Amino acid sequence: MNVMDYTNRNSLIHRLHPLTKMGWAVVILILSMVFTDPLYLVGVLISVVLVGLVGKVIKETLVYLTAIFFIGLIVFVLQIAFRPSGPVLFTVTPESWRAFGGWFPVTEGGLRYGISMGLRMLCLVSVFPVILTTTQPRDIVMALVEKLYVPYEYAFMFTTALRFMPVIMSEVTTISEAQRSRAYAVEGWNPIRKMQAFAPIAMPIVFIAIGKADRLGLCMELRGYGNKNRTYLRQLHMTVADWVAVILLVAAVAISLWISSLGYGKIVL
Amino acid sequence: MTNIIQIQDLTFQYRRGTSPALKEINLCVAPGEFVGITGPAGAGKTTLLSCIDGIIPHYYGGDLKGTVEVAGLKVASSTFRDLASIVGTVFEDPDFQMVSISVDEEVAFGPENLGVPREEIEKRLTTALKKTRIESLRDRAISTLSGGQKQRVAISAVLSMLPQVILLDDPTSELDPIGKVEVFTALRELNRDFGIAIVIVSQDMERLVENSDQIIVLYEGRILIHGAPRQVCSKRSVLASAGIRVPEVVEFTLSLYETLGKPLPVESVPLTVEEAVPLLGKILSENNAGGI
Amino acid sequence: MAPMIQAINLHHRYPNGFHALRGINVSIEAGEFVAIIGQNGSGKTTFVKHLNGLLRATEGVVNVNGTSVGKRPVSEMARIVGYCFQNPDHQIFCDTVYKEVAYGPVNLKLSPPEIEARVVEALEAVGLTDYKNSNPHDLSKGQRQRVAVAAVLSMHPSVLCIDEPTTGQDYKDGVDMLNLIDKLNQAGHTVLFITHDMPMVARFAKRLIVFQEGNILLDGTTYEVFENVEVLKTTFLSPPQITHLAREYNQFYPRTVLSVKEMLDQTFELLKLKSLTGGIQ
Repeated sequence: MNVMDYTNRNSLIHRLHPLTKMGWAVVILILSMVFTDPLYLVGVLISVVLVGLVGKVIKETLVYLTAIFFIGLIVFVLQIAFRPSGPVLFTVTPESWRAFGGWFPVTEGGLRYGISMGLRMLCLVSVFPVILTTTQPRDIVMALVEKLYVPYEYAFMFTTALRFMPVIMSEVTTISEAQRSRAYAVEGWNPIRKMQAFAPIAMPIVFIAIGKADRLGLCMELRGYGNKNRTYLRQLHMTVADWVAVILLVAAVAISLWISSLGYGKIVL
Repeated sequence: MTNIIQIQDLTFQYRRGTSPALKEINLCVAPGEFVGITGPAGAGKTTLLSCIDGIIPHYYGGDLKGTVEVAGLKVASSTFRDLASIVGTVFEDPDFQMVSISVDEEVAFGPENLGVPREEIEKRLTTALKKTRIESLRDRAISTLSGGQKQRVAISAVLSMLPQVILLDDPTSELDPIGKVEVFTALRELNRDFGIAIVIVSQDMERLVENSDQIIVLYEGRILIHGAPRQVCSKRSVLASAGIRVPEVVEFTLSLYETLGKPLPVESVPLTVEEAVPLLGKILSENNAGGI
Repeated sequence: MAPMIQAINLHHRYPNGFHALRGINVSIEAGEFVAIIGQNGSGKTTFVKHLNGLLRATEGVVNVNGTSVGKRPVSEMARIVGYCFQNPDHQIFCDTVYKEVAYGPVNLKLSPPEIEARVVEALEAVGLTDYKNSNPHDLSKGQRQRVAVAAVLSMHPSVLCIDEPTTGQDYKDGVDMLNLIDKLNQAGHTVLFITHDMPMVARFAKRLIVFQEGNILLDGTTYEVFENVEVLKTTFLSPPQITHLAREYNQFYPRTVLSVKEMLDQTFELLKLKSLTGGIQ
């Protein structure tokens, strides 16, 4: 999860209001759904990467996209399998095979659809690393709670999970080391064996996590958690940059919808 | 002047307990006092603190008899929100008592929950960090700090609620020697320079006798001895029977004087190495050791 | 005869680049009772983790019982080097003490009668025979720690590494634990315990190895190390109170004093002498 951690860098994107960034995510969503032509979708994806560049988080964005690429590939293959249309270009298993010959036809329509859907998926998720690396979790919480009226408890759960993940991971490492020191070793392919082997790691962490969660809840209550009218130390303002961004985003949506209605950006499926 | 903590005839048994965890406890803490609580494992130290900050009965239930008051408020009938601005608690584990990613968020958490106005939160944040000397850590991520630094953040996070008394449940047991010194120094300064009452549970007798105005020794749910450090230390045999040790210089000096048939009066019981030096010197010179 | 534990120019760099061990050279004979001390981050725990293979040297050699640890799996090293972690709750996962202590031998694929024998023996050694069928979670912290030690003992390691036996413990439990470790040392185990509890070190350890910033600063008997006053000061590890008191009168206590008992014995020696030579009282 390291590529999703907030990076403390000074960039235009870092300084934008969380709501502006969330609005941008919605706009990317709209554009990804409006266009189906792979060329246009690539354009949308490149625009997201460019935003990552401006935000000085290009490395994190690309690392994330490479990891997600594999899932995009799965989407691609599924579309080919379940949305055949148009002429068959080739089959995965050659016609000459006696058994399973001529199976898994790859159609021209299926191919185009597959590429299109794969790219759409990439566009949709590409906004996450950019937002999470340029926005502090507490600011996201504040924007969600103050402006979008998300109940504080839910937003708070999200940041608390982020905070404790490294701590829990380190406890799991310690448990793993302790058990390995008792000749614990996960070997072989037997799935039953593998499940049994889980207990020495899972049990201690579950006990520890439950105990600590209880303690944490207690500490929170002792410091007054649970008040509906809580205030916030930090203030978020919409700056000139934010308003310019909003105008650009609205324009982008408007233009996209317009050219789409003229028939551009779509492929015949 | 009302006592900041007033406990009368407190007896408490946990819901699943087979016998009372605390029996007929009577104690009081004056404003600005530094109180050390010690005793073997299972003596009831954590239970006692929990009765003061309201964890008992509001979080853990059981059979509670007697009264516990903080700054005149009855703990049993006050909410956590009422109590939060009088008493704050710091726990043993540096990691699992803080909820935020960065230091300033954590220290602001309490006042934010209480609905304190923004400018006031900022003021409290800066002051709290200054009092524990961690202003330079303001923007740091908590996960990057040492144990001693984390505990000082935890103390600041409680300070920002402007409590009159801070309870600490063995805050230094998981820390290395440097961390222990950092925490005790911070507590001493808070107590002496800012008048905040401190009630600390610890097994570190050396530091407790150095810093406390009053020491309370718990054993099997009861108060075994309490009083000024010198008084408590002078009762070595009682402490020993409960498995509680006194600082080495105390043990040595009292044994020495007793064996020589000259038991020390209470006000001369040494609490530190510095205090023990002249007492040893007296014995050595009186017996003309090496011709001083 | 080769030493039981030997490190030659041992370096360890963590993946994030941190140079935790900077050329450690140390040699420990079988049957020694060594305290490894240092502040958090000094490299003491990093060093000990090389002994059973939890960490691998990035440079240099670690030999245990004559052969290099190299890439031998931890499960193999566990037969020779037992590592007992600081928090027993990081290990305990069974519903009876018996099963917990049997876990190691089971992993070593020993025969059931052998496993039974070892569990009984280990529980006896730590004094928990009566709790064989208890649920570990019902036991006190001190008892759980002893379960953890038994669970490591049942693998019959020649070397025992115990991580912070007294940190976070009640004083009495800490003393009991160290007495147990002392007993195990008398029975023939080579014992290393990692700690920063100086009074306990003064009381129990025979040899001290002091770590600081990845280096061994001092290595010698407890007396030798404590006598190095200035060097020890740089580690912020302070000898116990009684040592400081004796130093104030080092003309009378020429040898470093490590415990109250030592101090009292020496003081009475001094006083008796004086009264024999015509002193007053």
